[in-house]
Amino acid sequence: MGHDASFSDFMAARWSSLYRTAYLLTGSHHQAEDLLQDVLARTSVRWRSIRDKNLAEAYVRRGLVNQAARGWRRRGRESLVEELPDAGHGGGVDVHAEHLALWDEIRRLPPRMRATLVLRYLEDRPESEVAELLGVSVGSVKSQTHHALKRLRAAMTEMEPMP
Amino acid sequence: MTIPDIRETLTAVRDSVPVPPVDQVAFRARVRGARRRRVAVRAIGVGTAAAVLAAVVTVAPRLVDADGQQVAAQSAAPRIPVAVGGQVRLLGDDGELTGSGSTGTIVGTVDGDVVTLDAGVLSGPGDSRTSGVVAAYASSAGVTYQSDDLSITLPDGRTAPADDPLVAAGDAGWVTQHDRVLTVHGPAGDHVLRLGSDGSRSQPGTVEVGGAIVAVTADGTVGLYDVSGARRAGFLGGVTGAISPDGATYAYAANAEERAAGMRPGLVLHDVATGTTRGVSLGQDAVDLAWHDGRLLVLTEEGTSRTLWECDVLACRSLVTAADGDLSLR
Repeated sequence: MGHDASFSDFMAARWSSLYRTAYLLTGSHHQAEDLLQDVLARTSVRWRSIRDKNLAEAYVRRGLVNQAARGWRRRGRESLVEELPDAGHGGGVDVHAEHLALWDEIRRLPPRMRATLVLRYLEDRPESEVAELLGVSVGSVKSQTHHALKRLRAAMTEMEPMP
Repeated sequence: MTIPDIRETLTAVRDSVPVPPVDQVAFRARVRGARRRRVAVRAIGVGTAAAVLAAVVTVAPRLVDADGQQVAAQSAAPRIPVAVGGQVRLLGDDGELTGSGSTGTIVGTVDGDVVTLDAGVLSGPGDSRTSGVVAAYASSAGVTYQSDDLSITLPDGRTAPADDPLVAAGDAGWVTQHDRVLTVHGPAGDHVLRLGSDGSRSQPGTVEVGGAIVAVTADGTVGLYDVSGARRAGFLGGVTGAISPDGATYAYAANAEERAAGMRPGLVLHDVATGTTRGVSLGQDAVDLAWHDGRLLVLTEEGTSRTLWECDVLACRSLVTAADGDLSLR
């Protein structure tokens, strides 16, 4: 199988799964597509040097987190997102109302905080691995997780109906 | 709101998010851009090496916003892998050391990923793992490594048979050693390096490949060769040094033995193309030098402590000091 065919097959097979991860990391369809295309383009150029193609997906996933983290650093100090990047409730995601409400709050978190939650609680990565991926200390991961949960709990409490 | 709620929500969103088709036109444009950037990185020339170094140092100071809060630098420099207490740790611009989860010898970094060799297992870039590896070298093209059957695997995945140990590798070729004879395997074929006028008696020390240049230390001297085996330069002293990844600059600094023998302290940048040198003030004894993502790093020793410096053509600045001396670049 030639280089181009091999990479094209990989991309066709894994695009959906990788896009979903990119979307959770960025909270935005536009940014997710931008991030994934960028990382896949660089993977395409380096495809021949990836010795074990079975690990290519892990390589791309790592690239997604690294590239996203670089983007946050470039943008400087993070701030709360007042306006959600995608118009429409939940960014056009079709889930139950309670999930939708929580997802909207998760999307409002600063990107590094949101990524910490995704890596810790969806991908079940240990704190040390999350720290390495995001380029921060383990203490920072703990702190980001703590503050993310605190913000979400506060936001979700406010949304509960009064008795 | 509990952690299981978050798990359920993230899982539900992941499973239901609408996925757009691949925009093939945009993707092909990005691939072309990635190829251009990769070629541009390889083509950094003699003149631009110093400019790149200067630029790196220029962005290093912290930015402070109107509220006096520290803001991340616009182009955060990649973290530097160092070995501390048998562990590979990553040094940030703030001087903070964070764990990398890796152990063993630092081979280098490829695409920002640290590559290590530990007990025959080559780890990285990314999550790749290869066992049965006896030697490995990183360059911008990727990793060249030798397996325990002596075969050599190149960054593009091709393998080459070999009978001798691999002692260096770079973008333009690799070097094997048989007794005291070094052979460069490059695009123009295999070439034996003649180590000085009395080559047969010279014992090679360290060997490095940077761009199309092979730097060899032997019996207290440094020899610079091109990959066709031709000798480009040679000088006495400066054996604690490193060739830049593009082969444009050989940087060296006096080690304790050389200083005891009368060599002046300080860092010297030798321009391979012109043969000119430029000195940079550095008072301590050099232990090791390395180039990392266009940055020149110098490890020095004073008493029991070690300090890592980042240097350019003008000056060196301290990055971190280990009072107990437990700090190395490899």
